[in-house]
Amino acid sequence: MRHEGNRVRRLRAFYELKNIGVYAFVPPVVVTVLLPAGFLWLRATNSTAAAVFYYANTGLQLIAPLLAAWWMLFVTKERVEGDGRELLYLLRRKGESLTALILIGAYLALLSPFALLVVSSGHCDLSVLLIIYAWCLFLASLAFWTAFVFHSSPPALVAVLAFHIVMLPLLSALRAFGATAWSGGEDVVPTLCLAIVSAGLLVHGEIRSRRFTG
Amino acid sequence: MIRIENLRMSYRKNEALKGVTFELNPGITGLLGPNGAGKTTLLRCMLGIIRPGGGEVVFPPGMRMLHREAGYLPQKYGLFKELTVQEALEYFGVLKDIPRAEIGCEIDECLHKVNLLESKRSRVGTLSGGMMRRVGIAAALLGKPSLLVFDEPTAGLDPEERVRFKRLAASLAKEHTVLISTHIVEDIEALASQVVILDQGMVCSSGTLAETTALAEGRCFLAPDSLVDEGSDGYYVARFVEVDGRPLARVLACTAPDGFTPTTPTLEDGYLCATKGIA
Repeated sequence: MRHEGNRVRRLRAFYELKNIGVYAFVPPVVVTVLLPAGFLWLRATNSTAAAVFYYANTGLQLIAPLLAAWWMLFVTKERVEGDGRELLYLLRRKGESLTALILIGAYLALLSPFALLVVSSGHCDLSVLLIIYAWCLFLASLAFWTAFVFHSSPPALVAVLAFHIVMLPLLSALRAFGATAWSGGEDVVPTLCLAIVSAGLLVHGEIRSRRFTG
Repeated sequence: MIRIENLRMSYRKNEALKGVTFELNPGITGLLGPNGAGKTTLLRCMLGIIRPGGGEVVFPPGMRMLHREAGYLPQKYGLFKELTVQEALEYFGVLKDIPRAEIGCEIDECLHKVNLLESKRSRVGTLSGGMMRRVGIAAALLGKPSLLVFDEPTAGLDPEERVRFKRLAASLAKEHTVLISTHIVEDIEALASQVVILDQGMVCSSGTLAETTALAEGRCFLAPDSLVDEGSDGYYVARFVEVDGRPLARVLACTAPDGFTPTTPTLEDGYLCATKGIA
Protein backbone atom coordinates (compact mmCIF):
# COMPACT_ATOMS: atom_id res chain seq x y z
CA MET A 1 0.00 0.00 0.00
CA ARG A 2 2.81 2.32 0.96
CA HIS A 3 4.66 1.38 -2.21
CA GLU A 4 1.54 2.20 -4.24
CA GLY A 5 1.25 5.53 -2.40
CA ASN A 6 4.81 6.45 -3.31
CA ARG A 7 4.26 5.47 -6.94
CA VAL A 8 1.16 7.62 -7.08
CA ARG A 9 3.02 10.52 -5.54
CA ARG A 10 5.89 10.20 -8.01
CA LEU A 11 3.44 9.96 -10.89
CA ARG A 12 1.64 13.08 -9.71
CA ALA A 13 4.91 14.95 -9.38
CA PHE A 14 5.92 13.83 -12.86
CA TYR A 15 2.67 15.01 -14.45
CA GLU A 16 2.77 18.27 -12.55
CA LEU A 17 6.28 18.85 -13.85
CA LYS A 18 5.27 17.87 -17.35
CA ASN A 19 2.40 20.33 -17.20
CA ILE A 20 4.91 23.18 -16.80
CA GLY A 21 5.90 22.60 -20.43
CA VAL A 22 9.26 23.74 -21.78
CA TYR A 23 9.92 25.93 -18.73
CA ALA A 24 10.33 22.75 -16.70
CA PHE A 25 13.68 22.24 -18.41
CA VAL A 26 15.19 25.51 -17.19
CA PRO A 27 16.52 24.24 -13.80
CA PRO A 28 18.01 20.97 -15.15
CA VAL A 29 19.59 22.68 -18.14
CA VAL A 30 21.10 25.42 -15.99
CA VAL A 31 22.39 23.31 -13.10
CA THR A 32 23.44 20.18 -14.97
CA VAL A 33 24.74 21.68 -18.21
CA LEU A 34 25.39 25.42 -18.20
CA LEU A 35 26.86 25.89 -14.73
CA PRO A 36 29.22 22.85 -14.84
CA ALA A 37 30.20 23.61 -18.44
CA GLY A 38 31.09 27.20 -17.54
CA PHE A 39 33.02 26.05 -14.51
CA LEU A 40 35.01 23.46 -16.48
CA TRP A 41 35.64 25.97 -19.26
CA LEU A 42 37.00 28.54 -16.79
CA ARG A 43 39.34 25.96 -15.34
CA ALA A 44 40.42 24.72 -18.75
CA THR A 45 41.28 28.23 -19.92
CA ASN A 46 43.52 28.77 -16.91
CA SER A 47 41.41 31.60 -15.55
CA THR A 48 42.52 33.16 -12.29
CA ALA A 49 41.54 31.38 -9.08
CA ALA A 50 39.53 34.45 -8.11
CA ALA A 51 37.49 34.26 -11.31
CA VAL A 52 36.75 30.56 -10.83
CA PHE A 53 35.85 31.17 -7.17
CA TYR A 54 33.57 34.04 -8.13
CA TYR A 55 31.86 31.92 -10.79
CA ALA A 56 31.40 28.93 -8.49
CA ASN A 57 29.95 31.03 -5.69
CA THR A 58 27.68 32.97 -7.99
CA GLY A 59 26.38 29.70 -9.37
CA LEU A 60 25.87 28.09 -5.98
CA GLN A 61 24.66 31.03 -3.94
CA LEU A 62 22.83 33.19 -6.43
CA ILE A 63 21.48 30.98 -9.20
CA ALA A 64 21.00 27.55 -7.61
CA PRO A 65 18.74 28.59 -4.68
CA LEU A 66 16.59 30.76 -6.94
CA LEU A 67 16.08 27.90 -9.38
CA ALA A 68 15.08 25.62 -6.49
CA ALA A 69 11.80 27.54 -6.29
CA TRP A 70 11.25 27.50 -10.06
CA TRP A 71 9.22 24.29 -10.34
CA MET A 72 7.30 25.06 -7.17
CA LEU A 73 6.11 28.40 -8.52
CA PHE A 74 4.71 26.78 -11.64
CA VAL A 75 3.23 23.72 -9.96
CA THR A 76 1.41 25.69 -7.27
CA LYS A 77 0.16 28.19 -9.88
CA GLU A 78 -2.01 25.48 -11.48
CA ARG A 79 -3.36 24.51 -8.08
CA VAL A 80 -4.24 28.00 -6.89
CA GLU A 81 -5.16 29.68 -10.18
CA GLY A 82 -6.03 26.93 -12.68
CA ASP A 83 -9.46 27.02 -14.32
CA GLY A 84 -11.55 24.35 -12.66
CA ARG A 85 -9.14 23.82 -9.77
CA GLU A 86 -12.08 23.08 -7.50
CA LEU A 87 -12.00 19.65 -9.09
CA LEU A 88 -8.65 19.08 -7.40
CA TYR A 89 -10.15 20.09 -4.07
CA LEU A 90 -13.11 17.78 -4.60
CA LEU A 91 -10.68 14.90 -4.92
CA ARG A 92 -9.27 15.86 -1.52
CA ARG A 93 -5.64 15.90 -2.54
CA LYS A 94 -3.48 15.34 0.45
CA GLY A 95 0.28 15.07 0.57
CA GLU A 96 0.93 18.26 -1.37
CA SER A 97 3.98 18.87 0.82
CA LEU A 98 5.31 15.40 0.01
CA THR A 99 4.94 16.13 -3.70
CA ALA A 100 6.82 19.38 -3.00
CA LEU A 101 9.55 17.43 -1.21
CA ILE A 102 9.87 15.09 -4.19
CA LEU A 103 10.38 18.10 -6.46
CA ILE A 104 12.89 19.69 -4.09
CA GLY A 105 14.74 16.37 -3.74
CA ALA A 106 14.85 15.94 -7.50
CA TYR A 107 16.25 19.44 -7.90
CA LEU A 108 18.92 18.94 -5.22
CA ALA A 109 19.91 15.67 -6.89
CA LEU A 110 20.31 17.54 -10.18
CA LEU A 111 22.38 20.21 -8.46
CA SER A 112 24.70 17.71 -6.78
CA PRO A 113 27.14 17.04 -9.64
CA PHE A 114 27.91 20.75 -10.02
CA ALA A 115 28.05 21.23 -6.25
CA LEU A 116 30.44 18.30 -5.80
CA LEU A 117 32.56 19.55 -8.68
CA VAL A 118 32.93 22.89 -6.93
CA VAL A 119 33.61 21.25 -3.55
CA SER A 120 36.17 18.83 -5.00
CA SER A 121 38.00 21.73 -6.64
CA GLY A 122 38.29 23.39 -3.24
CA HIS A 123 36.21 26.45 -4.05
CA CYS A 124 33.54 25.65 -1.48
CA ASP A 125 33.40 23.78 1.85
CA LEU A 126 31.06 20.87 2.34
CA SER A 127 29.56 22.65 5.35
CA VAL A 128 28.78 25.72 3.23
CA LEU A 129 27.25 23.41 0.63
CA LEU A 130 24.86 22.09 3.28
CA ILE A 131 23.79 25.64 4.03
CA ILE A 132 23.17 26.21 0.31
CA TYR A 133 21.05 23.06 0.14
CA ALA A 134 19.06 24.25 3.15
CA TRP A 135 18.70 27.62 1.42
CA CYS A 136 17.31 25.86 -1.67
CA LEU A 137 14.89 23.92 0.53
CA PHE A 138 13.80 27.11 2.27
CA LEU A 139 13.10 29.09 -0.91
CA ALA A 140 11.14 26.22 -2.49
CA SER A 141 9.14 25.75 0.74
CA LEU A 142 8.53 29.48 0.92
CA ALA A 143 7.12 29.47 -2.63
CA PHE A 144 4.87 26.52 -1.69
CA TRP A 145 3.64 28.15 1.52
CA THR A 146 3.07 31.62 0.07
CA ALA A 147 1.13 30.28 -2.92
CA PHE A 148 -1.27 28.36 -0.68
CA VAL A 149 -1.62 31.00 2.00
CA PHE A 150 -2.39 33.78 -0.48
CA HIS A 151 -4.01 31.45 -3.05
CA SER A 152 -2.09 33.31 -5.70
CA SER A 153 1.25 32.78 -7.40
CA PRO A 154 2.60 36.38 -7.76
CA PRO A 155 3.05 36.79 -3.96
CA ALA A 156 5.03 33.55 -4.00
CA LEU A 157 7.39 34.92 -6.63
CA VAL A 158 7.78 38.20 -4.73
CA ALA A 159 8.46 36.36 -1.45
CA VAL A 160 11.08 34.14 -3.08
CA LEU A 161 12.88 37.10 -4.66
CA ALA A 162 12.69 39.19 -1.49
CA PHE A 163 14.05 36.43 0.73
CA HIS A 164 16.72 35.57 -1.78
CA ILE A 165 17.96 39.15 -1.63
CA VAL A 166 18.05 39.30 2.16
CA MET A 167 19.31 35.74 2.60
CA LEU A 168 23.05 36.49 2.50
CA PRO A 169 22.95 39.03 5.34
CA LEU A 170 20.50 36.79 7.20
CA LEU A 171 22.81 33.82 6.87
CA SER A 172 25.77 35.94 7.98
CA ALA A 173 23.85 36.91 11.11
CA LEU A 174 22.90 33.28 11.77
CA ARG A 175 26.47 32.15 11.25
CA ALA A 176 27.73 34.82 13.63
CA PHE A 177 25.16 33.74 16.19
CA GLY A 178 26.10 30.07 15.67
CA ALA A 179 29.78 30.83 16.08
CA THR A 180 29.16 32.43 19.47
CA ALA A 181 27.04 29.47 20.56
CA TRP A 182 29.61 26.71 20.08
CA SER A 183 32.61 25.78 17.99
CA GLY A 184 31.45 24.83 14.49
CA GLY A 185 28.01 26.30 15.19
CA GLU A 186 28.40 28.83 12.38
CA ASP A 187 27.57 26.09 9.85
CA VAL A 188 25.11 24.06 11.90
CA VAL A 189 22.88 26.90 13.14
CA PRO A 190 21.96 28.38 9.70
CA THR A 191 21.39 24.91 8.22
CA LEU A 192 19.21 23.81 11.13
CA CYS A 193 17.28 27.08 11.24
CA LEU A 194 16.50 26.95 7.52
CA ALA A 195 15.54 23.27 7.70
CA ILE A 196 13.21 23.80 10.67
CA VAL A 197 11.55 26.85 9.14
CA SER A 198 11.17 24.98 5.83
CA ALA A 199 9.50 22.06 7.59
CA GLY A 200 7.10 24.48 9.27
CA LEU A 201 6.30 26.16 5.95
CA LEU A 202 5.64 22.81 4.29
CA VAL A 203 3.39 21.60 7.10
CA HIS A 204 1.37 24.82 7.26
CA GLY A 205 1.28 25.04 3.46
CA GLU A 206 -0.07 21.49 3.39
CA ILE A 207 -2.90 22.46 5.75
CA ARG A 208 -3.73 25.54 3.69
CA SER A 209 -3.56 23.58 0.45
CA ARG A 210 -6.68 21.65 1.45
CA ARG A 211 -8.77 24.81 1.75
CA PHE A 212 -10.45 25.97 -1.44
CA THR A 213 -10.78 29.67 -2.10
CA GLY A 214 -12.94 30.50 -5.09
CA MET B 1 -32.06 9.49 -3.42
CA ILE B 2 -29.69 12.15 -2.08
CA ARG B 3 -31.18 14.69 0.28
CA ILE B 4 -29.80 18.17 0.81
CA GLU B 5 -31.01 19.47 4.14
CA ASN B 6 -31.00 23.07 5.29
CA LEU B 7 -27.64 23.89 3.69
CA ARG B 8 -26.32 27.28 4.76
CA MET B 9 -23.27 29.21 3.70
CA SER B 10 -22.06 32.76 4.26
CA TYR B 11 -19.17 34.74 2.84
CA ARG B 12 -18.48 37.16 5.66
CA LYS B 13 -21.79 39.04 6.03
CA ASN B 14 -23.17 37.93 2.69
CA GLU B 15 -25.50 34.98 3.13
CA ALA B 16 -25.08 32.93 -0.06
CA LEU B 17 -27.24 29.96 0.97
CA LYS B 18 -30.15 30.44 3.36
CA GLY B 19 -31.16 26.92 4.32
CA VAL B 20 -31.42 25.07 1.03
CA THR B 21 -33.40 21.83 1.10
CA PHE B 22 -34.24 19.55 -1.81
CA GLU B 23 -33.96 15.97 -3.01
CA LEU B 24 -31.97 14.54 -5.88
CA ASN B 25 -33.63 11.61 -7.59
CA PRO B 26 -32.23 9.35 -10.33
CA GLY B 27 -32.33 11.00 -13.76
CA ILE B 28 -31.52 14.59 -14.57
CA THR B 29 -32.27 17.35 -12.12
CA GLY B 30 -31.92 20.90 -13.34
CA LEU B 31 -30.76 23.54 -10.89
CA LEU B 32 -32.03 26.81 -12.31
CA GLY B 33 -31.38 30.27 -11.03
CA PRO B 34 -30.26 33.71 -12.10
CA ASN B 35 -26.58 34.69 -11.92
CA GLY B 36 -25.57 35.14 -8.30
CA ALA B 37 -28.39 32.97 -6.97
CA GLY B 38 -25.91 30.72 -5.15
CA LYS B 39 -25.90 27.77 -7.54
CA THR B 40 -22.14 27.28 -7.67
CA THR B 41 -21.84 27.77 -3.90
CA LEU B 42 -24.56 25.16 -3.42
CA LEU B 43 -22.75 22.66 -5.63
CA ARG B 44 -19.43 23.30 -3.89
CA CYS B 45 -21.02 22.86 -0.46
CA MET B 46 -22.80 19.70 -1.58
CA LEU B 47 -19.58 18.20 -2.84
CA GLY B 48 -17.54 19.22 0.19
CA ILE B 49 -15.24 21.53 -1.78
CA ILE B 50 -16.13 24.26 0.69
CA ARG B 51 -17.43 23.60 4.16
CA PRO B 52 -21.03 24.76 4.60
CA GLY B 53 -21.99 26.92 7.54
CA GLY B 54 -24.77 24.51 8.42
CA GLY B 55 -26.99 21.71 7.20
CA GLU B 56 -26.02 18.41 5.69
CA VAL B 57 -26.14 16.20 2.65
CA VAL B 58 -27.74 12.83 3.34
CA PHE B 59 -26.69 9.98 1.09
CA PRO B 60 -28.44 6.69 0.51
CA PRO B 61 -27.12 3.77 2.56
CA GLY B 62 -24.09 2.10 1.02
CA MET B 63 -22.96 5.16 -0.92
CA ARG B 64 -19.23 5.70 -0.64
CA MET B 65 -17.58 8.95 0.36
CA LEU B 66 -19.01 11.61 -1.89
CA HIS B 67 -15.77 12.89 -3.37
CA ARG B 68 -15.19 9.47 -4.88
CA GLU B 69 -18.81 8.95 -5.73
CA ALA B 70 -19.34 12.27 -7.46
CA GLY B 71 -18.09 13.39 -10.82
CA TYR B 72 -17.89 17.14 -11.11
CA LEU B 73 -17.54 19.42 -14.11
CA PRO B 74 -16.65 22.93 -12.88
CA GLN B 75 -17.94 26.06 -14.57
CA LYS B 76 -14.57 26.64 -16.21
CA TYR B 77 -12.41 23.70 -17.09
CA GLY B 78 -8.86 24.24 -18.26
CA LEU B 79 -6.53 22.22 -16.08
CA PHE B 80 -3.28 20.60 -17.20
CA LYS B 81 -3.19 22.20 -20.62
CA GLU B 82 0.34 20.99 -21.31
CA LEU B 83 -0.58 17.33 -20.81
CA THR B 84 -2.19 15.13 -23.42
CA VAL B 85 -5.84 14.22 -22.87
CA GLN B 86 -4.81 10.72 -21.82
CA GLU B 87 -2.20 11.99 -19.34
CA ALA B 88 -4.62 14.51 -17.81
CA LEU B 89 -7.21 11.78 -17.32
CA GLU B 90 -4.58 9.42 -15.92
CA TYR B 91 -3.73 12.13 -13.40
CA PHE B 92 -7.37 12.36 -12.31
CA GLY B 93 -7.61 8.58 -12.30
CA VAL B 94 -4.67 8.47 -9.90
CA LEU B 95 -6.40 11.02 -7.66
CA LYS B 96 -9.55 8.91 -7.73
CA ASP B 97 -7.58 5.84 -6.65
CA ILE B 98 -8.42 3.84 -9.75
CA PRO B 99 -6.16 0.76 -9.81
CA ARG B 100 -3.30 1.03 -12.29
CA ALA B 101 -4.40 -2.06 -14.22
CA GLU B 102 -7.85 -0.60 -14.89
CA ILE B 103 -6.98 3.01 -15.55
CA GLY B 104 -6.17 2.68 -19.28
CA CYS B 105 -9.39 0.84 -20.11
CA GLU B 106 -11.47 3.22 -18.08
CA ILE B 107 -9.95 6.27 -19.76
CA ASP B 108 -10.74 4.78 -23.18
CA GLU B 109 -14.28 4.01 -22.05
CA CYS B 110 -14.86 7.56 -20.79
CA LEU B 111 -13.31 9.12 -23.90
CA HIS B 112 -15.52 6.93 -26.05
CA LYS B 113 -18.59 8.17 -24.18
CA VAL B 114 -17.67 11.80 -24.81
CA ASN B 115 -16.58 11.06 -28.38
CA LEU B 116 -12.97 12.10 -27.85
CA LEU B 117 -11.16 8.82 -28.30
CA GLU B 118 -9.34 10.06 -31.40
CA SER B 119 -8.03 13.09 -29.53
CA LYS B 120 -6.54 11.23 -26.61
CA ARG B 121 -3.00 12.02 -27.70
CA SER B 122 -3.75 15.71 -28.31
CA ARG B 123 -2.54 18.30 -25.87
CA VAL B 124 -5.43 19.62 -23.73
CA GLY B 125 -4.37 23.21 -24.45
CA THR B 126 -4.84 22.73 -28.20
CA LEU B 127 -8.49 21.64 -27.91
CA SER B 128 -11.49 23.87 -28.55
CA GLY B 129 -13.63 25.08 -25.65
CA GLY B 130 -16.26 22.43 -26.30
CA MET B 131 -13.71 19.63 -26.54
CA MET B 132 -12.04 20.81 -23.34
CA ARG B 133 -15.41 20.70 -21.64
CA ARG B 134 -15.78 17.12 -22.87
CA VAL B 135 -12.38 16.28 -21.36
CA GLY B 136 -13.78 17.66 -18.11
CA ILE B 137 -16.84 15.43 -18.47
CA ALA B 138 -14.60 12.42 -19.13
CA ALA B 139 -12.65 13.30 -15.97
CA ALA B 140 -15.95 13.46 -14.10
CA LEU B 141 -16.95 10.03 -15.41
CA LEU B 142 -13.73 8.38 -14.22
CA GLY B 143 -14.27 6.03 -11.32
CA LYS B 144 -17.88 5.36 -12.39
CA PRO B 145 -19.49 7.82 -9.96
CA SER B 146 -23.20 7.48 -9.30
CA LEU B 147 -23.69 11.26 -9.11
CA LEU B 148 -22.62 13.66 -11.85
CA VAL B 149 -22.67 17.39 -11.19
CA PHE B 150 -22.29 19.79 -14.10
CA ASP B 151 -21.93 23.51 -13.40
CA GLU B 152 -23.03 25.69 -16.33
CA PRO B 153 -22.02 22.97 -18.81
CA THR B 154 -23.26 24.73 -21.93
CA ALA B 155 -22.05 28.25 -21.17
CA GLY B 156 -19.90 29.52 -24.01
CA LEU B 157 -20.53 26.51 -26.26
CA ASP B 158 -21.60 26.86 -29.87
CA PRO B 159 -25.02 25.41 -30.88
CA GLU B 160 -23.49 22.20 -32.24
CA GLU B 161 -21.58 21.55 -29.01
CA ARG B 162 -24.70 22.34 -26.99
CA VAL B 163 -26.70 19.76 -28.92
CA ARG B 164 -23.84 17.29 -28.44
CA PHE B 165 -23.81 17.96 -24.71
CA LYS B 166 -27.57 17.46 -24.43
CA ARG B 167 -27.32 14.09 -26.18
CA LEU B 168 -24.45 13.09 -23.93
CA ALA B 169 -26.25 14.19 -20.75
CA ALA B 170 -29.36 12.27 -21.78
CA SER B 171 -27.34 9.09 -22.30
CA LEU B 172 -25.46 9.56 -19.01
CA ALA B 173 -28.74 9.92 -17.14
CA LYS B 174 -29.48 6.25 -17.87
CA GLU B 175 -26.67 5.20 -15.54
CA HIS B 176 -26.09 8.20 -13.28
CA THR B 177 -27.96 10.71 -11.19
CA VAL B 178 -27.18 13.99 -12.94
CA LEU B 179 -27.45 17.48 -11.51
CA ILE B 180 -27.09 20.30 -14.03
CA SER B 181 -26.77 23.83 -12.79
CA THR B 182 -27.54 26.55 -15.33
CA HIS B 183 -29.45 29.72 -15.99
CA ILE B 184 -30.36 28.56 -19.51
CA VAL B 185 -33.94 27.35 -19.24
CA GLU B 186 -34.04 25.65 -22.68
CA ASP B 187 -31.25 23.27 -21.65
CA ILE B 188 -33.22 22.12 -18.64
CA GLU B 189 -36.48 21.96 -20.59
CA ALA B 190 -34.83 19.57 -23.04
CA LEU B 191 -33.16 17.37 -20.47
CA ALA B 192 -34.41 17.41 -16.92
CA SER B 193 -37.17 15.48 -15.24
CA GLN B 194 -36.84 17.46 -11.99
CA VAL B 195 -36.28 21.17 -11.59
CA VAL B 196 -35.02 23.06 -8.55
CA ILE B 197 -35.17 26.83 -8.77
CA LEU B 198 -32.76 28.76 -6.60
CA ASP B 199 -32.90 32.50 -6.09
CA GLN B 200 -31.04 34.64 -3.57
CA GLY B 201 -29.78 31.57 -1.77
CA MET B 202 -33.20 30.01 -1.30
CA VAL B 203 -35.15 27.30 -3.09
CA CYS B 204 -38.14 29.02 -4.74
CA SER B 205 -39.53 25.87 -6.23
CA SER B 206 -38.75 22.19 -6.50
CA GLY B 207 -40.67 19.65 -8.53
CA THR B 208 -41.11 17.94 -11.86
CA LEU B 209 -40.91 19.79 -15.13
CA ALA B 210 -44.72 19.85 -15.35
CA GLU B 211 -45.09 21.07 -11.76
CA THR B 212 -42.62 23.87 -12.36
CA THR B 213 -44.33 24.86 -15.60
CA ALA B 214 -47.67 24.82 -13.76
CA LEU B 215 -46.40 27.63 -11.49
CA ALA B 216 -47.32 29.94 -14.38
CA GLU B 217 -50.71 28.33 -14.98
CA GLY B 218 -53.31 31.11 -15.22
CA ARG B 219 -50.57 33.73 -14.92
CA CYS B 220 -49.29 33.80 -18.46
CA PHE B 221 -50.85 36.16 -21.01
CA LEU B 222 -50.35 37.55 -24.47
CA ALA B 223 -51.05 41.17 -25.16
CA PRO B 224 -50.57 43.55 -28.08
CA ASP B 225 -47.29 45.30 -27.42
CA SER B 226 -49.01 48.68 -27.76
CA LEU B 227 -50.94 47.88 -24.55
CA VAL B 228 -47.88 46.86 -22.61
CA ASP B 229 -45.92 49.11 -20.32
CA GLU B 230 -42.58 47.49 -19.48
CA GLY B 231 -42.26 49.52 -16.30
CA SER B 232 -45.63 48.45 -14.95
CA ASP B 233 -45.83 47.09 -11.40
CA GLY B 234 -48.91 45.01 -12.19
CA TYR B 235 -47.21 42.49 -14.44
CA TYR B 236 -43.85 41.28 -15.69
CA VAL B 237 -43.00 41.34 -19.40
CA ALA B 238 -41.25 38.04 -20.13
CA ARG B 239 -40.48 38.68 -23.79
CA PHE B 240 -41.82 40.03 -27.07
CA VAL B 241 -43.02 37.54 -29.69
CA GLU B 242 -44.62 37.64 -33.09
CA VAL B 243 -47.80 35.61 -33.64
CA ASP B 244 -49.27 35.55 -37.17
CA GLY B 245 -47.29 38.65 -37.98
CA ARG B 246 -48.68 40.53 -34.99
CA PRO B 247 -46.19 41.87 -32.42
CA LEU B 248 -47.24 40.63 -28.99
CA ALA B 249 -45.84 40.69 -25.51
CA ARG B 250 -45.72 37.61 -23.30
CA VAL B 251 -46.67 38.83 -19.86
CA LEU B 252 -46.78 37.23 -16.42
CA ALA B 253 -49.27 38.52 -13.90
CA CYS B 254 -51.33 37.27 -10.96
CA THR B 255 -54.55 38.50 -12.56
CA ALA B 256 -55.25 39.23 -16.21
CA PRO B 257 -55.14 42.95 -17.04
CA ASP B 258 -57.76 44.21 -19.49
CA GLY B 259 -57.15 43.15 -23.07
CA PHE B 260 -54.66 40.41 -22.15
CA THR B 261 -55.33 36.86 -23.45
CA PRO B 262 -54.39 33.78 -21.38
CA THR B 263 -51.86 31.47 -23.03
CA THR B 264 -50.17 28.12 -22.31
CA PRO B 265 -47.17 28.56 -20.02
CA THR B 266 -43.70 27.18 -20.65
CA LEU B 267 -40.97 26.18 -18.22
CA GLU B 268 -39.43 29.61 -18.64
CA ASP B 269 -42.72 31.19 -17.53
CA GLY B 270 -42.77 28.91 -14.49
CA TYR B 271 -39.18 29.83 -13.71
CA LEU B 272 -39.91 33.55 -14.03
CA CYS B 273 -43.03 33.26 -11.86
CA ALA B 274 -40.93 31.55 -9.17
CA THR B 275 -38.04 34.02 -9.27
CA LYS B 276 -40.13 37.17 -9.71
CA GLY B 277 -42.57 36.20 -6.96
CA ILE B 278 -45.58 36.05 -9.29
CA ALA B 279 -47.66 33.52 -7.38
